[in-house]
Amino acid sequence: MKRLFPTKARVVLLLAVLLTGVLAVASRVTGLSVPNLVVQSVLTPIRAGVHALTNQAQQIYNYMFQYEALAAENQALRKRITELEEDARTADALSRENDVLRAALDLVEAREDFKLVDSHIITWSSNDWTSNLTIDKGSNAGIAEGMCAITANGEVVGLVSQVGGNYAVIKSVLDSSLEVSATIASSGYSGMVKGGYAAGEEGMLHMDYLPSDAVIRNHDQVVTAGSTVYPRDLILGYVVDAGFDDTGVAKFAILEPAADFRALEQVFVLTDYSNG
Amino acid sequence: MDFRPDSQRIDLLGKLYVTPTQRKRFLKWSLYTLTFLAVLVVQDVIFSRFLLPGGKLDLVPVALVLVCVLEGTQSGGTFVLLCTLVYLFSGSAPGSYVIAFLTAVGMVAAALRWGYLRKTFSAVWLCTALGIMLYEMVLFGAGLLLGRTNPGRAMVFVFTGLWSAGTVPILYPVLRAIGTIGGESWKE
Repeated sequence: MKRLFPTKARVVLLLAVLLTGVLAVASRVTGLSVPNLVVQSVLTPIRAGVHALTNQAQQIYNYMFQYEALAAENQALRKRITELEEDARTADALSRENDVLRAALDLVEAREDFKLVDSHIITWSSNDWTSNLTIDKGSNAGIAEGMCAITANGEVVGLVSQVGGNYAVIKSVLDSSLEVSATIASSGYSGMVKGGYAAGEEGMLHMDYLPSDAVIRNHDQVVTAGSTVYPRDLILGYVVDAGFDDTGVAKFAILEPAADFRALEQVFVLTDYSNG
Repeated sequence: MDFRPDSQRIDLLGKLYVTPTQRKRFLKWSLYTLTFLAVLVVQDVIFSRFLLPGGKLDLVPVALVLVCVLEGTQSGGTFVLLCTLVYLFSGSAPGSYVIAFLTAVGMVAAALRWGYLRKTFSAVWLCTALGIMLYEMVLFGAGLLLGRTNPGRAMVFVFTGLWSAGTVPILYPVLRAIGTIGGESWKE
C-alpha cells in the first residue's frame, strides 16, 4: 500500500498547524498586519473592477429580462401616486371643513339660542332665474320647510323651500322671488332685500323701500330684521351702491352678498332660535 | 583547426537553468494561482451576498480542495497552505484556523482519491464533496467552540457544503486543463 501521507505532506500539515497558531496569536496581539495590508491593497482594485462589471451586467439583465416587471412596478407606483393625490385632496377638503366648523362653533358660542344642523351642498340650480341649492340633510335631521340656512359665520344663505327625508332644497337670497326684511345696521333704516337678477344685478342683492332721507354709506352692513322665519342680526350683505327708485320717493341700495356663494360647500340650518 | 563550440543563445530562463518541464510547471502553478485569485474575487464580490435556499456558496474551499485532489497531498497540500495564507490575509477567511482546516481537509480528500479510488471525474467529485462537507462541519464545530454560532445553524453549514459541492463540475474542467500543462499529473 502506498504511503498516503509521505514525509513532505506531513511537514506541510505540521507547518499549517504551526502557522495557524502563530497567526492566531499574532492577530490578537498586533491586529491588522502588513501581509493583510499588502494582500488587500492588491485585491481591492480587482474587486472594485469586478463589482463594476457585475453592476453593469445586472443593469443589462434588468433591462432585457425585467422590463415587464419594471413596467408593472411603474404602473403600481402611478396608481399609488393617484391614491395619494386623492388623499391629499380629501385632506384639503377636511381642512376646509374643519375651518368652517370652528367658525360655526364660534357662532354657537356667541348665539347660545341657535340650534344648528350642519349639511353639505350636493347640487345647485341649473337655470338662471332661480337660485336654489340642495343639501344632504332633510326631515330626518329635523329640518322643516321655511327654516333659515346660514353659513358658519352667521351669513344668510336662504330659506328651506322643499324638504325630503334625507335632502332639502334651499332658495337662496339671490333668488328674486325671496324677500327678506332687513335693516342697515349702522343707521337702523329698514327695507326689503331680494335677489338682484330681475333688476339686472345678477349675483347681487337689491334692497328696496328705504326712506328717501336715509343716509346710506358704502360698505354699510345690512342684517336681517328678524321674523318668525329667521332671527335678527344675521348678515345679509354690504352696500355697494344706492339711489332713488323709479318713483323717486324711496331709495334703494345694491348689496354685495355676505355669503360667498361661489365657494360655499357647507351650510347650517337653523332649526330653533329665539328672537329675544 | 581549433575546435570551436557552437555559440549558444541563452535566454533569461536559460541563464537561470530552468528546463522546459520546469517552465511548464511554473506556468501550471501560476495558472492555478490566478484561478484561485479569480475565484476569491468572484466569491467576495458576487457570491458573498448571493443567498441560496438554506445556505450559500463557498467557492474558495472548493477550488483549493479540488486542486489538492488533482495534484496530490504533497504538491496540492503545499499549494493549499500558501493559498489559505492569502485567503486569510485578504480578509475573507473566517479565521486563522482555516489554514490548518483547509490544508488537512484537502490532504485527506486527496489521500482518499489517490489511495482508494480511480482516476475519474466522479471520484474527484466525490472526494471534493466529502472534503467540503468535512470542512463545513469542522468550521461549524470551531464556530460553536468560539461562540460564533449556535447549534440551530448546523443545517446552514450542511446546505452550504452541498451547494458548494455542486460547483465542482464547473471548476473541474478548468483546473483539469491547467493540471495537464507540463504532462499528466496523475501519477499512479
